[in-house]
Parts: sequence; structure tokens; C-alpha cells
Amino acid sequence: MHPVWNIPELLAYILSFLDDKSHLLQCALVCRAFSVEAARLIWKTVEDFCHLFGCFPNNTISMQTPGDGSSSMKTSGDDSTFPTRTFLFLHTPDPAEWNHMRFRAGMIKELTFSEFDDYDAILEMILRQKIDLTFPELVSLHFYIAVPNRFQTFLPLFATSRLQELDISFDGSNDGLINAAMEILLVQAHPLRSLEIGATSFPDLSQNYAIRLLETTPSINYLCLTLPTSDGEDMAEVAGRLPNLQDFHLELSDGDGVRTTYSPGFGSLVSLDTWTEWTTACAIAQAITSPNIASLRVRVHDGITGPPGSLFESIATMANLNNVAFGFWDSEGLQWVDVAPLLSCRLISDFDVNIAGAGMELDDEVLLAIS
Amino acid sequence: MSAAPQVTLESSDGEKFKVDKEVAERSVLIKNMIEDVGESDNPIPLPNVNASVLKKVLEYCEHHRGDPLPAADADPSNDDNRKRATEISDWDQKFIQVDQEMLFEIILAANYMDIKPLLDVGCKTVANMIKGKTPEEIRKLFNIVNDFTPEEEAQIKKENEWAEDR
Repeated sequence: MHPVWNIPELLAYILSFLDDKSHLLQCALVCRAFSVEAARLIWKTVEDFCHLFGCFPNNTISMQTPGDGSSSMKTSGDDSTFPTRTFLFLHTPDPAEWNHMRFRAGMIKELTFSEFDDYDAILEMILRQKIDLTFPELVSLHFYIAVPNRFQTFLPLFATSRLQELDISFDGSNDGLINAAMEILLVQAHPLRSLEIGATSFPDLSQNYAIRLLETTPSINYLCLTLPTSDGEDMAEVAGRLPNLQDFHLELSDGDGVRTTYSPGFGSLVSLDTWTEWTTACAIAQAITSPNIASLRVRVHDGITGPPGSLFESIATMANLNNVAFGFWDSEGLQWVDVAPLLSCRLISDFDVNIAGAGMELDDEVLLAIS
Repeated sequence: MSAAPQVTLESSDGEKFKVDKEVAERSVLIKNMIEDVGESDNPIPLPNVNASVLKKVLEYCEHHRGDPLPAADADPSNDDNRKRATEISDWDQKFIQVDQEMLFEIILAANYMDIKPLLDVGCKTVANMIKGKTPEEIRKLFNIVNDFTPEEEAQIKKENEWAEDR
């Protein structure tokens, strides 16, 4: 065996070029030295929290699915059943087994909680046994948990983390739980660069917490909000003041939009992607002060409810724009003449219009002239 | 026109190599030594690199003398771009077509002399040799002894089996 394999840093560096985890798994089974470094890379990104349960001996944890008689519930408005998987301890692990789980948790840099899984019983056991389960290396957390699960009890687990990327989706309408989760996120003051918040219902208190989170986290450069319209409008206003925001995605639910203007802001924005009412799209485009905006994707829920030219006139002032896409469900009232201001955007190299409704005749000459 | 400044490097087995300073300074170790000690006629000793390996390393440095230097503060563990760029240029591929002993010696030398692009070429090459092989094939290829107990091996398989399909 060559001495190169006895230098952990070099072994780790060689294995770091193996992107495919199945290759890393083969390496983990070569010898002890390989196993240590390969496992470190395998556990760096964990796409499902339940992978940690493999650290326990067989028959420690049971997984139930709705088909095998466990309790389940229906989400409102669709036919999906959740939780899809319920995890239970069959007996209490011993201290060495807990320590092993904590050892693996300590390697994780990126963690995803899969949608609709139920870890309540697991969490209760962790809390009851006073297991100090933390994720000190974690920088990226993706949290898709249905509200009926007590996901807020998860969040303190990440108190020692220094999250740079957080993606959290609330599915359901338990206001108390959403508020508790948002408060914890605010208090923990992670140095976020990337923040995604999605909710079908977002109580006022949570909105206040979220706004304070934006106000106190100037490091954010990527923001994605998928929210009810009234909540999202106010948060978009605050987002405009983020000094480092480069990439902004805004998806607002149908209807109830009241805001027709936004304060000038978005001074560092490079890319904007919206799925909103027409008035919101126009107002945000008009509020952008960044000289570097290069990509614009505007998708509109329904009809064009204002002067169509206003949006395109705003866009025409964006000197560095090179990628533009529009999506309209109903383009009645929009004529190609309204798009004419874009002819002055000399850098546009990629121009795309997707129209679901009738009312707009494609004029190939104009399209060609723009792109 | 004045000649390019040169430095002399001395391998572990006492062979001396006179090379352009620009070529030698592809090595961060040598660059720092020259900055710390100042220019002198004394040879720079490289006690961890023998002549045959040093000759090969200098061949690489000569070919890449004009390339931009990698950022000094780049964190390799977070450098996703580096991992994605697993391709090796044609010249580098031909350069690194050596026997396994020489390949590992180049890696050790690149690590010691702090020549990151060369270290990357060597490590990518070894990683490419590993891809698609079973543990037994990897052991055989690199003459590695399996030091697991059957219980340890079973535990590692169980814990990491989720990585199989990733």
C-alpha cells in the first residue's frame, strides 16, 4: 500500500472527486482508512432525515405507512395522504448507539426533511432521553414538513448550526406552530445567504417575524417567497431593502393584491422571477434600481389589468438585460405595440413569451427584432 | 534583452535543476521560500522529492508557466466547481500517464510543494481509477489490505446503504 493512503487529507482529497455516492459507498467498504473519509463525504449531504436511523441496530426503529394500518389523515383540498411514513422506536437505544447517531449527525452539512414524514415519536424519545442531538456542521437545511407534525420541536436541534441556506415550507394552517417556528428562526440569527419560505397560510405574527428576519439578515443574496398575496407583498417591500439581494423569486397566490407601488430598491438585483398579479409585476419592475439586472422572468396569474406598456417601459430602462421571459394566462388587451419599448434593449439575447389565453397575435418580426 | 531570472532546485538525491524563477514559483512552497529568504545563488533544497519526480513536476510547471494561479484562499472542501470539473485536459492526461508508483509520488510532491493544479490532476486521475470498481477491485488495484472485521463491514454496509442509489 502506497504511503499516500496513510495521509488522511490526501485520501479525503482524492475521494472528494467522486461525486457519485455509490462510488463513495464502495470506497467506504475498502478498509478502515477509506471508510472514515468516504463516510465523511457520504454524510455531508443527507437527503432524508431517516437515513440517520440506519445508525441503530436492526429492529430498533419501525417505519409504518398508511397501507399497513397506521393512523393517517387527509390533507384538505387534495387526495394525498399523510404522513406517508411514521417512524417509531421499538425499544430505547443504548448510550453507545445514541452517540453513534450523534457522531453521524455531526458530519452533516446539508440536510433535507422529506415531505409529510412523521418523526414525532422519535423526537419525543430524543427529548425524553435528553439526547444532545445537534448539527454543528450544518449550513444548509431543507424543511418540508406538514403543519400537523410538531416540526417546531425540530428547530432547536439546529441552534448550534450556522445555517447559510434555509428552505422551509409550511403545509397547513396551524398558526401557533408556524409562529413558533418563525420565532425560533429569528432568534437563532443564522448568517443566511439563501432563504426560501413557502406557506399556504401565513399568520400575521409569522409575517412580522419573517420581516424582522429579513431586516436583520443583510447577508441574504437569494430569496424565494411563495406566500399568500397580502403577506408576500409586504415582505417583497422589505426584500427591496436587502443590500446584497441578487436573485429574487416571488410567487404570490391569486387575488387580494392591494399594493400598486414599491419603494425604489433591489439595488443589487441580477435576476427576478415573479408569479403574481399584473399590478405587482409592474410595481416591482418599476422599483428596481439595480444597474446589473440581467434576467427577468415575469409570469402573470390572469389578465392584464393596467396599461400594458408600463411594464415594458420599465424593463426597457434596464440596460444590461439579456434574458427575458413572460408568461400570461390571459393576454387580452396586450398588443405587440406594447412590447415595442423592448426593441431598445440591445443586449437581450433570449426572449420568450408564453401565452395561455387568446388575444395576442404573435408577430414574428417583432419577436425577431427583440431577440 | 536580459535573461529571465533563474533559481536552482536540489532534489533529495542531490541532483540540481536550474529553472526559470517563474516556472519554480508555480510551487507556492518555493515562492514563499524565495520571498522569505530573498534571491540567492544557493540551491533550494527539496528533501522530500527525488530527481525523477522533480523532473516530472518541473515539466508540468514549465508547460503551465503562464496559467493564472489558483486563488490562495480557495477552500477545497467547498469548491463545488472544482469537483464538477473532473475533466483533465489532453496535455495533462498524457503527462499523467505514468505508472502507479510515479503517479502517487507526483501527488505527494505536488502536495509538499503546494502546486494545487498538479495535485488536482493527480487526485482526479486516481479518483477516475476508482470509479465503478468494487471494494475488492479497489483493494487489488492499490494493494490495500482489508482490515475490517466481518461485523464492522456489515455495520458500514447497513449504515450507508442509502448511498447505493444516489
